[in-house]
Amino acid sequence: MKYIVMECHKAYAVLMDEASRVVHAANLHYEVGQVVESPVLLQEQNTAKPRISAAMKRCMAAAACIALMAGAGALYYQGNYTAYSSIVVCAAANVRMEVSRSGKVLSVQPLNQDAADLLVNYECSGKDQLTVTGELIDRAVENGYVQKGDTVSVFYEKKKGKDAEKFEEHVGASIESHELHADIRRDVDQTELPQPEIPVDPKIKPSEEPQPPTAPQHGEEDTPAPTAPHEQQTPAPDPEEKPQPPTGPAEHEHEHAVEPPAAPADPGTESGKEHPVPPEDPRGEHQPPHERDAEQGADSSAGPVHPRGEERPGEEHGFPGHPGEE
Amino acid sequence: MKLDVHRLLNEVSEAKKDPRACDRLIEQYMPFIRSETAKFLKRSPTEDDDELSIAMFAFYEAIRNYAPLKGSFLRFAALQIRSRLIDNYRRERRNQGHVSLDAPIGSEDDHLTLMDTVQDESRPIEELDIREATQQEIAHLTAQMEEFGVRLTDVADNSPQQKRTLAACQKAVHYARTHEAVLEEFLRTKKVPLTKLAEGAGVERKTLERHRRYLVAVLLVCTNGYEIMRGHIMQVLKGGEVS
Repeated sequence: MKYIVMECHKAYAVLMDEASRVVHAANLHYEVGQVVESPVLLQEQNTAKPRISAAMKRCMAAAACIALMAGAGALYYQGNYTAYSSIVVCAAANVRMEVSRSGKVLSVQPLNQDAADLLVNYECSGKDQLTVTGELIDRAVENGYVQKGDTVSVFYEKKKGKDAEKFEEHVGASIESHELHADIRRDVDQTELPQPEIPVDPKIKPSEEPQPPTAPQHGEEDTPAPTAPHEQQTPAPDPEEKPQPPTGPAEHEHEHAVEPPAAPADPGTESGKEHPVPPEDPRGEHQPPHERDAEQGADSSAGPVHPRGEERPGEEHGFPGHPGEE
Repeated sequence: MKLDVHRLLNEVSEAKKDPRACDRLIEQYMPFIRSETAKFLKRSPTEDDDELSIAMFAFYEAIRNYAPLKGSFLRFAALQIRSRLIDNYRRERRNQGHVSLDAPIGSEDDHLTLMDTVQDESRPIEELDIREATQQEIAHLTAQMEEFGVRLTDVADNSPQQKRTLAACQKAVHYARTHEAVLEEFLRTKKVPLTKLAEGAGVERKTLERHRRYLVAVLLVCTNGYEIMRGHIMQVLKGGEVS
């Protein structure tokens, strides 16, 4: 690059290069108008005060790192430790699972006494939803809550596409491996789900809205009106009563689990149709109407009943899904 | 003592703005500059030594780059001078081992050097004529720039350093050259028509505003009477890039 010397001072010269830039350079005995090459050019230092000091930059960098880590931690916590969806397994023992976004089971809560008994000494922490569902079904089968040919209902929510297919496939396979029928539904309305009969964790709030009356089922007579959850009473189980073996082929499928009295009936009771009455209420005067009617001889051949407040035949023994005795 | 320091700081800040004040300050501190050069050379410098010129230039750099946060000005200047001299020494060391054309040959009585034996292909008379013509053009340009309130040192400070900015200014200059009306308006109004240049060349007006003084100098070069200087930057004026 060639430079024309434009101006000479004692300590410096002003040069113009071939790119039309005008620069300061050392005056190495130059003359105005001289063409020079390889001059000693001025080196400008940035004397402007930085807008942000170095200490402030360090603080901002540290704050950004902390914010990033906090955000990552919050995302991880949200994905693994906060409830994202729920799964309700209705296999006589109705169980509700709270599941995180990553599919980990956060808590398992019984919705009826059978479920409470089923979950005794059961640990679900850190387990996958498919594992817990399978284990609960296995336990229900082992403890006799369901028998071959019974239907196990599973309700789940907030799964779409391949996740839903995979879930249904695995759970269906698990259920059918015990020769049970699988009824798996997605995003079911809350009113159709079984309501808790026993006190549950305050986080899980059962629907408090009064349930609309349902149409009477086929074969049912004197079907009692459904009651609000808080009106339902679970009679105290008789410690001497034991679960009864199946007495006949399954005549119907119970589509929805209901909240019958969990305690199995004493074989010695009359026709097995009477519900155990709480000791403090020998006459059953404080029983809900549907239980009272059941004691008075509801038709045991009734078809599937509404899960809420209505009982199915055969459940007088406390074995949901068992065919009723006639 | 404190008064001297305070006075010096005032003079330095004054020299930053005014080239004449800068020259005065350098003249005033020549003994200091010589002293620092002598420390480096281990001998007293002469007027012909490039090292002395480099040291003076380093002192000028120190005036431009000094800020009170950097401590004492004289200590800062001494550091700048030493750094520059070291850089110059390293650069010159690459040429060591080459034979100098001023090396004497023959006996001392002959006073002959190697240069005397080499055929001179240059034409000193022509070069002298060209240089004189260039000097006249530069003097004329400087006088014309005074009418616009611009000095060559201002142009040097205002000259675009970044390639992108330089390209934008060159585009504007090329547009002005191809549209004589713009140059006529520039000479008539004694103002750079920034809006027309920005719209015509398709560059940001803000960029042209920041380098207004530089544009004054280059647009004047594009007008009649500056053939030598136009020839020097011809490739750029044609719209091409200089490697």
